[in-house]
Amino acid sequence: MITLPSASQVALEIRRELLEQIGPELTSERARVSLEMIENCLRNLAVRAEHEIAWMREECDAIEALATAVAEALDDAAVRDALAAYRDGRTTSLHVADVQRDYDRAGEALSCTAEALARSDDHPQLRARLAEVFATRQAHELEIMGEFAFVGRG
Amino acid sequence: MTTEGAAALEAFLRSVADDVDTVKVLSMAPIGGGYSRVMMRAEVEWSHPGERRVETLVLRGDPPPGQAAFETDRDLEWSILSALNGRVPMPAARYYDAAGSALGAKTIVLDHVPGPSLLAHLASGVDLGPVGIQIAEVAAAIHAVDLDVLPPGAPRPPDWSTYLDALIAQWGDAERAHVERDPFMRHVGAWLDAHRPPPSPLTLVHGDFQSANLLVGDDALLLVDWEFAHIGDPREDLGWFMAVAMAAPPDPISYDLDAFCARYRELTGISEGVVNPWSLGYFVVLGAIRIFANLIAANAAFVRGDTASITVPYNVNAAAFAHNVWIAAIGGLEAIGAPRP
Repeated sequence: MITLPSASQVALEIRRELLEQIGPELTSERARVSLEMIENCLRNLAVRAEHEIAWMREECDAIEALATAVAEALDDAAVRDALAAYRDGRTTSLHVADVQRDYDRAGEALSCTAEALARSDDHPQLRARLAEVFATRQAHELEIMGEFAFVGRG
Repeated sequence: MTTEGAAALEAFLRSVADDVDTVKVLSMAPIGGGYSRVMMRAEVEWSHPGERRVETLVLRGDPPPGQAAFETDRDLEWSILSALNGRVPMPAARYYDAAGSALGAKTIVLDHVPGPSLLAHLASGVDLGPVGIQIAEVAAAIHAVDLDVLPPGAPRPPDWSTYLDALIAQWGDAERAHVERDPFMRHVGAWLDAHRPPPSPLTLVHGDFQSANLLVGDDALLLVDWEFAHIGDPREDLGWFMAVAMAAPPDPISYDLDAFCARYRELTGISEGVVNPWSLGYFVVLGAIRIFANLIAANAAFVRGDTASITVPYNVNAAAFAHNVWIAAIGGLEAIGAPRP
């Protein structure tokens, strides 16, 4: 297959064409707001195309390590079950839909881990690791989001 | 303006307005700025016996099926607006095409306010201090509405504890019903459950109280877009205003939060233990769930192919922004600690 220009480059080129060639031709306020939303989505797509598979895999590994430690320290059944479901369903496929399903099951394990730690008054080190896992997830979301403001409001 | 649209509006207005000889729609134009409903501005010439006048009306209708960014109940919105006419600072609600047969969709017709939104007004660099006090006064007016005047269709929670339980439970319930996992929601829900504020009286809550929904009238701020109105905790409105202002600054409430809280408490009689910077910070997070649940429900509908608006994938950014706001707010609240009762 032909891999260059990359999907990210193509998305950014579509964005540039829309902004520079199509945008100035628009007279309707509603169409201009739509264009701004499309522009934003194309920037989102460009970042996702570059990184999302690697980011999901990396986050899954960190979640698995944390959930394992929390399941052992708190003997929490929900964390144990969610972790088992993640491990049972995990694939080695790199197709986006397969990676997304793995990430989804890891996400459930992360939710159960956060809920278990919220019920406990102890384990500051595990809480700190939980905060790190969420910080990584947040950093990825913010990089995809880029500059964001509510377009067309006001 | 399409000929069909103007003719339909003329026919509708003739059918609902009393004592009118003729109605002519002089112009119609879409209004931008809202993400959920279709908004139009219409200039209308009325002829009454011995009188002719021109006024501007706003039409607020449901979008075509499958194109709504949020699904809300227009019948309930109209019944609440009808009950609130003249009781709170808002443009008067005039007419309603309940069946959608006259105007093509269920449509509420309102008075037009010529002034800008508060969001646009703030961009001109006005002094934020007095605006914060004005917002406290608008909020207090909404939250002072006698709940007995609200329509029977507006759900009435039995008490504050039950209400808060349900609101906190929405974080987990909405997440479990979603098409993908959102661990931020479950993490935040667990945190909110473990850090409850003191109870408040239940009041009318606007539900989308933000500077883009406040219009600058001649002598008052007027509140529009009541589709999320409900009976709940008044701090939801205050926290939501602050949360949205993080994405659409500036924030006249946070500009002098102590002064805002003091004025709001003075007008409502609610105690300092209930309304204070910590509790508003708590509701910056908690109050987000109603609209966030709608946002991810729209996202799920898009994933399933049930809706097709560009607003939905665009709003994924708003979800990411919200995650960031929640985590920062929780970190800030933990750093200052809850006030002693």
